[in-house]
Amino acid sequence: MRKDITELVDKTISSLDGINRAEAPGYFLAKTKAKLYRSEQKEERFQFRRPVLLIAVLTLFLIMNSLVLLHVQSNSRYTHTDKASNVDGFAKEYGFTTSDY
Amino acid sequence: MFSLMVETYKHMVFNTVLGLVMNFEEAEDLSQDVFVLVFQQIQSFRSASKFSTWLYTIAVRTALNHLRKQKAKKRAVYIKRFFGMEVEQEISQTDFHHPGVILDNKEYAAVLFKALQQLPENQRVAFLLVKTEDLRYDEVAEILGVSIKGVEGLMHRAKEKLRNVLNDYYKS
Repeated sequence: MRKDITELVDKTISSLDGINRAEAPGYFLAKTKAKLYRSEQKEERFQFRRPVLLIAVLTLFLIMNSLVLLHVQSNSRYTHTDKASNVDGFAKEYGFTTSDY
Repeated sequence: MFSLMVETYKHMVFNTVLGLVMNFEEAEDLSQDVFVLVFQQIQSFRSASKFSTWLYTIAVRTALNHLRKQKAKKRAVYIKRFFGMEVEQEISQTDFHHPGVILDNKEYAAVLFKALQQLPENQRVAFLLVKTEDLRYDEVAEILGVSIKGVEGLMHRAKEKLRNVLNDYYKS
């Protein structure tokens, strides 16, 4: 019995001896080419994910932000002086002076 | 160039992947992925090593990644079932019959492929590359990134483990 099992085990382990290569199915090349084509198209669609493009978009975004910020700052400086002169005019009109405070 | 590469190596890649995944449709799909990947990463190929060695490495890695994903899916299904969630019907694993095995050995080989699933990854890869691709130990060593002694050890442990698994199988 034990001998039988050992024999079976040996036969099983050596069952791959003299094995032939399994061949790839038909139209393998055509199917692989189609897959490559699909993957290239997909890559083109997601080109914006490339680091160079990402950096360019980010830089543009930063430049635009800086320009807007500069513009807002220069405007706020102008309104600030405007506001000051308005307050002075208002104080003069109603006869308020700094000594009233 | 792509066509030439596929035509030259398609059987080699398909046979390697098939031995590991033991399913014809999956092996075909994965082999196609291997060629697409190789074509896209051809710049990273170092001419110091043989092209076929590089191709084997990618084929083995692709097949093993696929098996790991399958394992993770099975685990997720188990967890879902545990919590009483509905899961898709699982296709039961049937015996795998390698088309290259000689007729007299068909049944034994089917048992062997089942037993191979119980081996650790590196032992299974080493065993299959030696047996089904008829590669030398030094070639397997280069593919797996280990020494020749390392491959000898892997083969020894693989055979030992297979003996134990098969002993239990035939006893029951």
